[in-house]
Amino acid sequence: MDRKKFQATLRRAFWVPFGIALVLAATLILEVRFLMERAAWVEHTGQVIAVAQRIYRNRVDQETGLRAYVLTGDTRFLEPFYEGRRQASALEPQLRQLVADNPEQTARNEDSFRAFAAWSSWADEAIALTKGGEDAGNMKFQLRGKGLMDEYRRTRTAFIEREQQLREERVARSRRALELLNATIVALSILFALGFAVLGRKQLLSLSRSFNEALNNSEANAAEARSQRDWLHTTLTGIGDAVIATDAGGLITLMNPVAEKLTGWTLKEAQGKPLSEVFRIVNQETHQSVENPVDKVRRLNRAVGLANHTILVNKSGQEVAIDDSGAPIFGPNGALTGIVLVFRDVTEQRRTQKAIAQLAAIVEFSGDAIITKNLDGILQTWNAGAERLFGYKAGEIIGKPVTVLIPPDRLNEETEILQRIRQGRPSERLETVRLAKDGTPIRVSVGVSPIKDVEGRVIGASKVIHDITELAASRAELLREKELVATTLTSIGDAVIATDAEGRITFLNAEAERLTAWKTSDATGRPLPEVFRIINEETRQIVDNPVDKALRLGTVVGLANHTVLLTKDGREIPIDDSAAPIRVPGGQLFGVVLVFRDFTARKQAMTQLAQSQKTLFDLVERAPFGIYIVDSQFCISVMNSASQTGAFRNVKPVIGRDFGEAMRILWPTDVAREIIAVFRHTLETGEPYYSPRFTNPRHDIGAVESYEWELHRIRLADGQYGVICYYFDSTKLRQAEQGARDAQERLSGLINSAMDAVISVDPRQQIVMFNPAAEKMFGCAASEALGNSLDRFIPARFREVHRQHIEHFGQTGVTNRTMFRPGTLWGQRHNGEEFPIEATISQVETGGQKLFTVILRDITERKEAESKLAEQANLLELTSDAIIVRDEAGRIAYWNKGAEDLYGWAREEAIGKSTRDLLQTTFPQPLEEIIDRVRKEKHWQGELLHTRKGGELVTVLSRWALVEHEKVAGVPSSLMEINTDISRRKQLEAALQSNERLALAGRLSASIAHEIHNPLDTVGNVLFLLSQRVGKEPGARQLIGVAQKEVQRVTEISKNMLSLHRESRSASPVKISELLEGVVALIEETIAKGSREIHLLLGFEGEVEAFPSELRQVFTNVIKNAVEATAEGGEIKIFSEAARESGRNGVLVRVVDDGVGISEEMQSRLFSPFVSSKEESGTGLGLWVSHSIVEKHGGTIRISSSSDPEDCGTTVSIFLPLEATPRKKVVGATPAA
Amino acid sequence: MGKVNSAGVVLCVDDEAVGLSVRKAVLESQGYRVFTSENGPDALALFSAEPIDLVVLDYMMPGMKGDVVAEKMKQLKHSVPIVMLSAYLDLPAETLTLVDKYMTKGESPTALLEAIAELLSAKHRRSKATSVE
Repeated sequence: MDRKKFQATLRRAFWVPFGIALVLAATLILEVRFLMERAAWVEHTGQVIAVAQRIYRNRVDQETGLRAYVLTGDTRFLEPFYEGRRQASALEPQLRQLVADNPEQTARNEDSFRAFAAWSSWADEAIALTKGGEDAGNMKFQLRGKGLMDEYRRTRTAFIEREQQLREERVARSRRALELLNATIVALSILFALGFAVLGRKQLLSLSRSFNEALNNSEANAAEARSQRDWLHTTLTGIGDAVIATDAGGLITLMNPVAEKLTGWTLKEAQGKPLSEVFRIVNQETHQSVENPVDKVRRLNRAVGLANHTILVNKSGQEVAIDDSGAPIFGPNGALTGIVLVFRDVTEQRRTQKAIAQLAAIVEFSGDAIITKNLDGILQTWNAGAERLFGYKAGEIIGKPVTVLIPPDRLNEETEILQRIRQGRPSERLETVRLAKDGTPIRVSVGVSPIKDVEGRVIGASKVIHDITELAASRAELLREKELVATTLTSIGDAVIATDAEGRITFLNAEAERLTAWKTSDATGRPLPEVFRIINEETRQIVDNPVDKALRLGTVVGLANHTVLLTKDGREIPIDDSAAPIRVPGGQLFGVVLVFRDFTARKQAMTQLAQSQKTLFDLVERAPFGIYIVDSQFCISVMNSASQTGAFRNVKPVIGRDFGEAMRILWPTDVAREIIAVFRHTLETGEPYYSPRFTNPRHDIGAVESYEWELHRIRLADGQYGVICYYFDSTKLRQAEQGARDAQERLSGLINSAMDAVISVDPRQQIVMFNPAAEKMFGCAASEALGNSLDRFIPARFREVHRQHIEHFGQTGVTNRTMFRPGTLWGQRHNGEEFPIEATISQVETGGQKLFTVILRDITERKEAESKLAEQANLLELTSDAIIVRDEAGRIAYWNKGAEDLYGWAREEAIGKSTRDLLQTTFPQPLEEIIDRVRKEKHWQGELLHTRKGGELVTVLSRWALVEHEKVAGVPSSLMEINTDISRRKQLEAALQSNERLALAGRLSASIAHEIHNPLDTVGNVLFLLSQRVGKEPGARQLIGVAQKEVQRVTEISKNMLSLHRESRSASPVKISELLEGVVALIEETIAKGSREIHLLLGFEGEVEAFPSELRQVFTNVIKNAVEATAEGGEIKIFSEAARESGRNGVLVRVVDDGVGISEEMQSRLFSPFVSSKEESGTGLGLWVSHSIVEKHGGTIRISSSSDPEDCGTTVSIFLPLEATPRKKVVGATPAA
Repeated sequence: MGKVNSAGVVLCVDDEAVGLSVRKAVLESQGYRVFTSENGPDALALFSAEPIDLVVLDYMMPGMKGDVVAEKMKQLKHSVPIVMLSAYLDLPAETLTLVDKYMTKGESPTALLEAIAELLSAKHRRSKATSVE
């Protein structure tokens, strides 16, 4: 080619398109760089996923290793744990760096690190616990670990899933970029093809080549991504999970060996088959087909997880639980090319989960307080155990400083703990005191472990706090167990020899000593074969020593049969059935325990065993307390007869019955529910249970019963757990206790509330008891009296006598008696006052010491009462009533002075006689009725007619009362009869009645008199007229004169009578002289004329304000009395004169007679009713009535008398004031007018 | 016993018809002119209508009693003396102040006549003195 021409052509062909190409190339380069960048991102994402998954796998290995270690205690398992930790920890910074450019993923990643750090610190704790020989396998603890690990899985999976999603996005973006690039290439290729045609192929080819190189570069990146995928493939197949890969059509292309094993298909068989045929999955519960993940992935076009509770049905129809599976899609170059299924056999895991879930609830019932805090001591978490122990709810305490739990004097502990924690060291288990919410101190044991983050920085601490009171109890339990073991070993029928790891003897029990003839002291430290020499029975060959064998093999070995033990003293003893269990605590060979048995004794032993079993059975069967066993099915499987006939007597049949059902028969629902819960708890956790006081009403019989019981979990013959319950019916015991308490309380209550003083003294007469009544009686507080001598309460003069008395009493041994005669004993109050007491003394010997108890009664009041009684008895004698007491037979037992007076019978005459005979009683009703009434109503009242000694009748008001003596044995009730003489009252009643009749007669006569006056007036007038008419005829005139005189006389009498009975409504002026004249005139009519002289010497002519008729009655009475007292021919003088008394003017009327006079005794009683000096002739009412009338007028009436024969006579003086002051309206007749 | 015409006019009031007629006879025998009435209202009518010199009045009468009659009479002609003649011994004091003389029945007719004569002469003296003045 012409160079110039070519150059020209090139220049022409080159520079023109070159300019265009340059622009396009620049664009292309930019695009390619963009594409490369994209590819780098995809690669980066793949790397992130790979690293994250490696970390994840290592962490899972850690968990597996730890779990195995906790379960087995085998430290070999810790290897994967530590290896996993080492590898993962190495990868973590790398991952952190990788995701540093993505804040979202960084956050996820950190979450994941944190979650693992939490688990990791738990794991450290678990290792520490296991190393320390404690059980880290307990459910609660394990559950916590699982929870932490689950959290880690979740966060890590989230991280990976997101990263995978990112990768998908980035791949898609790369693809789009690639397409753009391709389009650009096509466009450019056309341009270059044109340019090539124009400019020559060589240069263009070279250009094209160099461009292709650039293109190849981008393909290399894609290949890198593919290799990454392959790596992932490898990873997936290597992790122990089953992996199945399919193509885009869902036909299987790959299965790893695990998948082969789980599905039962070999890769060969499965290849090319649809996934659904090989990977048949159903729901665990419903057994319904679950949507095949391939279909799902296709439908959703994204990664999907399998549904939970999925079961894979393998080729041979067996079911395998699978879990944690994923179905990621792979779409290189944009298309869905296939699916990879990853799944795992979780049968075991599910089983564990199920068990964990079941036990989780139970774990809640117990457990330590577990709390976490940060480095500032602020609480971060707070579990249910902590809530229980401290009483704070999680919500109220989280965020508060831990110091609220620490007593102020122990705050330095926290400082020390925090210091250790900051250094990353777990704190020693610390026994200390913490405060509950209510401030009560709790003895606790605290373990603190640091919490570290992923980078190993300490960020806080977790505390496990254990209530030490329980711990102490369990320690004691442990000790007891050890003791028990030791005792068992020494007393067991089998010979036991223990050796250390070198096979040197450390222990021989009694049987071993006996069989080997070695003493422990001699044998200790010797190699076993020296002491335990065994040969074959037949061959006489030395048998391989079991200890050597055990030490060599590290396993349990049985002894060969037909072995003979050569004893120290040369005897041969066949031994049999012996075993040599090896103890390997923590995997370390610790020593050997050899158990063997004298074969010759075996038969005997078996018999003994049978016997002892029988004994044991009898023991259980005849135990006075109840024993029964509830099996794993919660049925009562064994029960002794005490229980069957006791608490469970109403449950028939009882053996085999559901325990819950039995409880509900015996107890109310809520009680039964509690009991069942306790049984379940023991059954599930193995914690023994000791009932507190259990007192409840029975559901079946209603009575309240008390029980004390305890529960232990035991393994039953079927290998399952059961619960054995021992119980004791303490109902009677409780009742007895209660009874004793009640009695005690009653007694002390009695003493404290006793009215009597109760004082106890010791033999030195020091007071040891002083009750409130004693305090009151002696006016001395118990605190003052106690410990002091009794002397201060005894008047000085009696002290010595009293002391001797007590001493003497102490020697008699009599337990109880009254001291002295009542009334001779005196007490002395605190203030020195003496008072009579009555005392009873008793002695009791307690604890070898004699105690004297004196019961004292202050009888001051009683003495007073007694004297009062005596007074009253005297009164009985003084009363005018007849008081008679009759015994049940009706004989008179008591006859007072009143009775003597009334009936005239002296006491001596009356006592012992029957009242009925003595007094010839006339009853108003049959005596039987009266007696009956007295019996029923205790009393009777009525009028009786009795006969006096002299034969006169006397009417009495008789009151009978049944006297019931206060239930003194042998004293029958008696009848008291109080008789009041009512003869006089009867007379009074009669007098009043006659008075009333008189008044009535008066009123009648007044009206009659009025009716008479009118005709009398007329008759008088007629006679007057007649006397005029008859003129001077002397006979007639004389006769008319007689008639007139007689009429006049009738009128006068009538007027007198009328004036005697007329009554006034009000007082009126009365001329005393006229009134006296009228009265005297009337009296003179009644007495024989001239037999007695009545002289009126009236010096007062005035009037007084008075009721004339009443005054007339007074003067009539007084003057009549005077007339009657005066002997025939005697003289009565009536004076009236003005007088002044008590500052009032009035008239004094004196009636003076010279009669017999009145005795002085009689004078004092003259104005009482029924008193008469006139023997039987008077009513005894005259002066009584007069006295009251005069008093009514405001006047006075006095009597002075002398019965001296020389100067006898009586003067009655009546003073009436001029102006009466009547106190009441006059009762009686009103004027008929 | 003076002349009939000079004796004067007397009004006798009493519910006892027999006693009244005998009393009238006794008074007429002594020369008095006598009006009688058996009840208060009639008596008052006569007392206003006739030139009565003196009244002999019973106390206990059905309807209007003697004290009421006396009071009205005194209101009508204060100067006419009234003799209260009753079977009762103690009449209320107020009643007694209304009348010029009180006498119980059954006292002799002579006593009544003397009392009338005395009251009339006293009245006569009073009227004479009045007329002289």
